[in-house]
Parts: sequence; C-alpha cells; structure tokens
Amino acid sequence: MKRYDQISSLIWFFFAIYICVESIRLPLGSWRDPGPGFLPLLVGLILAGLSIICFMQARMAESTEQKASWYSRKRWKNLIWVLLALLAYALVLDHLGFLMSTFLLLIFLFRFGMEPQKWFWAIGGSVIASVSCYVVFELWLQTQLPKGILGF
Amino acid sequence: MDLLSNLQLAFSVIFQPENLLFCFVGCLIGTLIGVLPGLGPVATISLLLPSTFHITPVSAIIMLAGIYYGAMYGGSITSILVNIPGEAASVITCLDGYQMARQGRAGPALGISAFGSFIAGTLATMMIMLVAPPLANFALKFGPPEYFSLMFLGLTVLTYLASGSMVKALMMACVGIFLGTIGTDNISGIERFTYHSYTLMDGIGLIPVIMGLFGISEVLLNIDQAARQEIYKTRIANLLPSLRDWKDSILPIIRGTFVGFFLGILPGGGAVIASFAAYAVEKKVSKHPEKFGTGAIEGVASPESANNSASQGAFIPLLTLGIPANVVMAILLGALLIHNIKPGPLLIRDHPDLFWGILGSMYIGNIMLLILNVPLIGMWVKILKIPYPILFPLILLFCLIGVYSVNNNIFEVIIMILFGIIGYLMKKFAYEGAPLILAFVLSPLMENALRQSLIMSHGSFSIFFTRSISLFLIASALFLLLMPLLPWSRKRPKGGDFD
Amino acid sequence: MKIGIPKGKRMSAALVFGALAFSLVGLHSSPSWAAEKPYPNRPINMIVSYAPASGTDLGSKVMADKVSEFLGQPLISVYKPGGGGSLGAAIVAKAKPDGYTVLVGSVTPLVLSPIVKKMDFQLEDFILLGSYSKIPIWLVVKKDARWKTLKDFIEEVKKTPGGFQVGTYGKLTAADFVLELLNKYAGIKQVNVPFKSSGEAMTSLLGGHVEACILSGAAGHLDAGTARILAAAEEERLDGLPDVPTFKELGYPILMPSIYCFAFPKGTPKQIVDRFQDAQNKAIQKYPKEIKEGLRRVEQWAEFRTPQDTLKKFREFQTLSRKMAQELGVEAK
Repeated sequence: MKRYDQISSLIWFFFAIYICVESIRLPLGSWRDPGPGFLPLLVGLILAGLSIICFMQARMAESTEQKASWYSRKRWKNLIWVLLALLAYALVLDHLGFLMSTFLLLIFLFRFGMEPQKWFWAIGGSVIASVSCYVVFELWLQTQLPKGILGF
Repeated sequence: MDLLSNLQLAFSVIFQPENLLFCFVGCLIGTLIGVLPGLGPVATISLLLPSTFHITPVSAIIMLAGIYYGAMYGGSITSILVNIPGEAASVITCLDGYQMARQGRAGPALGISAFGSFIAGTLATMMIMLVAPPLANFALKFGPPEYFSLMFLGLTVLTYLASGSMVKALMMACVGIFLGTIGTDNISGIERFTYHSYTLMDGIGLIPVIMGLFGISEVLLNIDQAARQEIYKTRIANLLPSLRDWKDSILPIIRGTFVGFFLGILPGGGAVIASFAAYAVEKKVSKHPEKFGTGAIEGVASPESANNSASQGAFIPLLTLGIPANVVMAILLGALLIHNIKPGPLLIRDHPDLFWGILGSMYIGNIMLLILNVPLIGMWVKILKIPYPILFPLILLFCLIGVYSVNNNIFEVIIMILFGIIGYLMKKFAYEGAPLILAFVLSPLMENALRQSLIMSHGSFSIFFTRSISLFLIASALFLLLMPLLPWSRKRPKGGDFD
Repeated sequence: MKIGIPKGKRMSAALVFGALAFSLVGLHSSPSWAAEKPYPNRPINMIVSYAPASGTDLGSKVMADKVSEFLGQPLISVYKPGGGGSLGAAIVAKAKPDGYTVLVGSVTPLVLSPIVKKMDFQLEDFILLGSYSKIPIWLVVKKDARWKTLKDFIEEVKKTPGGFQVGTYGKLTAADFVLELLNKYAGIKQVNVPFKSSGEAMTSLLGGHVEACILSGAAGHLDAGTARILAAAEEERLDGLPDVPTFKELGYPILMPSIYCFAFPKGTPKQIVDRFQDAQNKAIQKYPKEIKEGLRRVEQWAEFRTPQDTLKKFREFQTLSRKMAQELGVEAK
C-alpha cells in the first residue's frame, strides 16, 4: 500500500494544482464577498495540502505488505475489453440505435467479459435482454431511447 | 381539533374505492421507479401530472404522494443487491447493505429495509398528525444562515462516515466539493469548469456520478477479482431478518425515523442528507463502529428509515404553509394550483378532506408497500444466484439505460463510465466514495447559503453567530469535530492515520 | 434447460430468432425509410429550461393539455434547467429541426441570456409561435408587511443605510433587471439576494429572511393571501388584480414583457410550424375559458398574440435590453 499511497497522493496533488490554476482565472472576490472562484481555490489548496500529508505519511510508514499488484494479472485484459465495450457503446448508441447497440454490446460482454458463454446463449440471452428492455423502456415507459439509422 | 374525528375523516377519505386504487397505483409505480436506476420520482411525477388533471385533487395527490414515498422503498433494493443506488437517498444503504448481500444476508437486509421503512413511514405519519403546524413554523425560521450552519454540521458528519484513513476521507471530500462547483454559479451567473459544455452547464448530474462510482466500479472490481462469486452460490439461509437482527435494528430504526423526519421538514434538507446523517448517528452511538461498512445491519436499518420519514416529513411545509421542501413537493404544489387549491396556512381549514385524506393514504400506503415488497424479497434474492458472468452485463445494461433515461444525454453515460473507472481506482487505492458523495451533494447548497448570507449581512460573518438557530448548529458542529480530540473521549476514530 | 435444437444448428437458430425479434420490434416502431406519416407521428418534446413546477413548466402544461388534442400526439415535458434558462434554449437552438423538439420560450432565455452571457445562439435562431401567456414580474412582500404602497417601500429603503436585501430567482435575469432599474429610477439601493427559483425566494420571504422579493409569479401565494404585490412591471393593470399598480403608472418606466410562447429551431419546415400554430389556435378557439382559468390558477395571465406580433415584442425587448445591459454594464462582449 505504501507505494500506491505515494503515487495516488501525488496524482491528487497535481489534480489539486489544476483546480487552483483554473479557479484563479475566475473572479475570486474576497472573504466578505466570495466570488465564484473562491471556493474552488480554497478546496484546491486544501486538497493539495492533504495530499502532501498523505504522501508524507506513506513515506514514513512501514512497508509492511507485500507488493501485491493493484490489478489482477490474469484478468486485466477483461477489464480493458469491458471498458472499451462500454465506451464504444456510448459512442455508437446514437448511430446504431438502442436495439442494435445493446444487442451487440451484450453479445460482446457475454463472450469476452468474464467467462465466454456459448454462442447460442450469448446471442439468445442478448436478444431477450435487449428486446425486453426495449419493450419496457421505450414502449411502456416512453423514455425516448435512441433510434439509429435503421429507424429503431 | 378533535383528533379522533380527524382520523375518522382520514380513513373515510382513503377507504373510498378510487382513492384506494390510486394509492395502490402510486405505491406500485413508486416501487418500480425506485428500483429502476436513473428514473426517479421527480421525472415520473411530473410525467404523470397532466394525467391527474381530470381526477379529483385528493386522488391526484394521493397517487403522486404514493409514488414519492414508494420510491424510497424500492431504491434500496438495487443498492443492497448489486451496489447500485436506485435513488440518491439510497447511496448510504450500499455501504452496509451490499456487504450483507455478499455475506449471503441479502434477505435480512431487504427485509429490515422494508420493515424499517414501514415503521418509519407510519411513525412519521403519526408525527405529522400531531405536530404539523408548529414544526412547519419552525422550518420557516431556516434562512440562508441556518442552512449554511446546517450544511456545515452535515459536513462534519463526514468525519464519522469515514472508516479508514481520515486524511484520505477529507481528500475525497475536497474532490466532492470541487465536483459540486462545476456548473453555473447561482450567485454570479458565471460558469465554472464547464468548458462551454452544455452537459456540464448545470453541473455534473448526481445520477451518473453515483451509478458510476458505486455501481460500475463494483462491476469492474468483481471482474477483476475472483470471477466466481462463491458467496452468491452459498445457500442463502434466511430470507427474513432474524430475532437478533431485529434486536439490533429497532433502535436504529427509531433514531433514523426522527433524524429523517426533522431533516425532511427543512426546505432544502431532504432524504439524501437524512440518510447520511442517520448513518453517521448510528455509527457514532454504536458500540462497534468499526463494523460499519462491513455489513452491519444498523447501517441499513437507520438510513432506510430516515429516507422514508424524510420523504413524508417533507409534506408538512407544503400542506401547512404552502412551501415546498424539495423538488417533488414543488411539483405537488403545482398540482394543487392546477386543481384550484390554494396552498398556505388555510389549506387544512379549507380542504380538510385533502389534508387528512393524504395522511390516511400514508398509513394505508405504507401497509401496501410493505405487502408489495416483502414477498418479493425471495425473488430479488434469487437474482443474486445468477452466475456473475451472465449477471454483470445485465447490471451494466441496467446502469446504461438508467443514466440515459434521465436526460437522454450520451455524454452523461460517458461521465458514468468515467466515474466507474475512477471509482474502481479509488477502491483499489483505498479511497472512500461516501465522503465524496456527501460533499458533492452538500457543498453547492452550503456555498450558496454562505454567499447569500454574506450578501444579506453586507459581508459580516457575525450573522452566523447572532442568529440563535445558526449559532446552535455551528456550536454543535464544532463540538462534534473536536470531541474525538478531547482526552476523556473513549472512542478514537479508527483507521491507520491519526491526525 | 433442454431445447430440442441440434447442437450444430444452435448458433443459426439463435441468429434467426434474433432477426425475427428485431423485425417485429422494428416494424412496430416504423423505421424512417418506411412511408412518412404526417407530422406529428410521435410525441413531441417540450423543452422546459427551468425546474419542474416552475411558472414556465406549469403554463406549458396547461397549454399542452389542450394543444395536444389538436395535434394528436402528447407534448412531453423535458427539463433542462440551468444557466438561468439559457441551457434549454441552447439545446433547442442546436436541435434537429424536425418539429419534435420545441422550446417553451420566454424573454429571459431567448433575449436576455444571449445579451448578458456569451451564448452561441440568438433570438434569430428560433422560429417563434404566437404567445399564450404572461407571468408578470413584480415586487412581492409578505401580507403583513409594513408597507402598503411602493412609495412607502421606497421611502424606507432610502432611509436604511446599506439598503435592502431583495430576493430574486437569479442574477442576470429579468427580475434582476427590474431590481437594478428600480434602483436607478428611484435612487435607492436594493441588493440582489439570488435564489435558485421563485419558490426558494418566496420561502425565504415568508420566513422573514429577506424583506421583499422581485419574482415572476408568487409560487402559489398570490391567491392564498400570504403575499402582497406592491407593483408590477407591466403596461397596465392586470385583469383581476385591480389593486395592484404598475411601476409605469407610479412614475418608474419599468416594463418587462414576460410573455411565453413555443419556439422551434430555425430551419424547421414551414408546414410543421404552421401545423403546430394551427393546433394552438384551434385549442385557444375551442377552450378559451379553460385555458384562461387554468393559467390564472398558476398565477399566469392569458396573452394570445400572433407569431408576428410576438416576434415584434421580443425584438422590441431585445433593443431595450441591449440598452439596459450597456447602462448597467453587464453586456457580454
């Protein structure tokens, strides 16, 4: 944990600097009449300070735990695939429409997410899930799900 | 004001067949809305508002009210099962409820949640009956300085939420405050950190953040760790809370009810803050605070009771003074106006059937909700038995649709995914999400209240100390902050770091 | 679970099943390359740039209830609050001009916000329909306040060092302008305490935390008797409120044409706009009393004008606001 705390607190430190820099560009006002930039700057400074404290604590702490990797060696690829799939879904949703995108996403997740399911079940399950969601959300609840180039 | 004859009026109104029907419909819709993520009572009630134009005002309000407090029942279901808060008020339930589910105790969690909500709802209704007008007048006394002090007190609650390192919890609070500043500043009209994005112009939505931070991140975590969730496969022993569970929960339920009720009355308070506060109170008075966050049933009983009693307490300012305590009440106010009912102090006098009818419907509604929810526990628990490789795509889909359905905005879906990644990293590096969410919700309110107060006082900070309620709240906050440092305090905040 | 499909054929079976399911669903929702049904053939989104149950929202719901009858499709409220009303307008300005996205428009988002903030849309990016209601902007005090007239109020403000705190529903809004103009013409100092909505401001007023408010509507308290109007920023006295003077007649030329109309994005085909306007006209023709009464209940006054007249009024206000903004120094460069 020690090393990770050091790294993470440094990341937060730089984030805090970003906050401070951006908030200085806004009107700051004064203590008696805080402007829009006042609170973000204050918070940025506090965050910066806290991350330094965190960093120091991590440095001075005993390095007790063994160096366990923070991601799973075996399944990090799955994670990346899932994330990419989700992002791709968000991007094609408007173009392909809800049904198509969901269908493809679910097949992908059933197959490549964790343990690959058999194709029959992957496709079948995907059809059932996407169609039932469509029925519930679009037809019944009238939330407007995106329609793609195919019109549905 | 004969109480008995009022009760009689209440039940005579609610037991009319059409009112019973509307009450049931409202509760049913409310539960479903609560379960479905994203779609919340606000959207649903405003969607159904026009369809109430052609029914009587009493029936209309009974139904819409049922949707609102019904959603509080349903919201906890997904929080417990899959760590996805169905409602902002159910975020806190995730902390212990989900852990209970992982230990095979989803049934008791769901059960205590339903029963706690029922007890809280019924008690709240009784309190409304007895003390509505004086409480409402008390609520009026809350102006910007009091709100600031209340929020300040609320933020100190943070220190009790944190299970781990205090420094890290405070860092998360800072991040939460920062996220809350994104958007158009209310006081000056200037945009902050929006980079001209229309999505961000009104701030980052709460729904994408909580669903990403809690729901998506948990899925990612589960993919990363052991794929086979052995825990879900163990035979889930009890579907209902045990006697022991009841013994542990009854006081938290009572306490949660009171905390929630009072916070719900205050305009701007609300179920979210109530649930956080109730949780913090429980943790503070508990003999084993370190168990919170690992599956302590008190951590489910209390917030669930709080959010229910808060949602009912919110009716008080509306019905007695014509002042909406939150967005849902504002919509109900609109509904009253459209039905030609003038809100304000005369409402009880001019429309006693409306007031007492609503109260009657709350009693009946809570019973209906209990009957609706408890038998379904078995069904919900079975969902957990679905193998995770099949379950998780469905969970993700659930989240994606949920977020999209709020604003039809793809960008918000992307924000949710981003927060999913952030949440995953946070869990891996041991940063907690609850302080972030609490700060995210509270800080815009607090900042607004602070600046409004300073405008009111021409820049003088003394306004916070010269008004008695505000002074009391700030003093309490400072007391709570400093208490752990006092030598005779026997509880030290647990965690790796002492600061 | 055993299904009697031979193993090798399972994938094809699944694909066929999938195709069938999709076609059924697709047929149901009429893809766009099928025969075009006349407008409107699905619900229309009404973008409300304020919170649910705001004046904008309630007025639009009263109208939508009747207009949808003549359109044959419901009008669904979609809430995009933010930026003091400018977010909703910005979204509609960029929306597809297919007639299924319409803004519940008013002066603040359409005229004021492009002037006082850097927005990438203008009044000219919209096609305005005829107005249907107006929500007066006025100075509100508690029922038992010690001022009976505007004159009393102004006198006391003058005598108070530091001026008065007056609540509004936001900075750089029409109410804010009224406040500043009153300051200017009456020579007094009112400090704007911005709240997030008229409702919040009203709550604060009733609690005694601010002395007065300049709001649009009174969050339901006008008829309940808990609030009193000292003066309204209107041309003439309002129907049904014979005791409420206008700023103008008291010597302060403060006019805020707070009228509401539907607005389509520029480029929406003329026949769609005409169809909608036609439906609106028919609704007004058939239900004049119901609409007037419905609007009045939510503290609005019916104001039926033609599209041309509405546009003219908005343009007049645009010139006026530019001048006001320059004077007050709030014009966005």
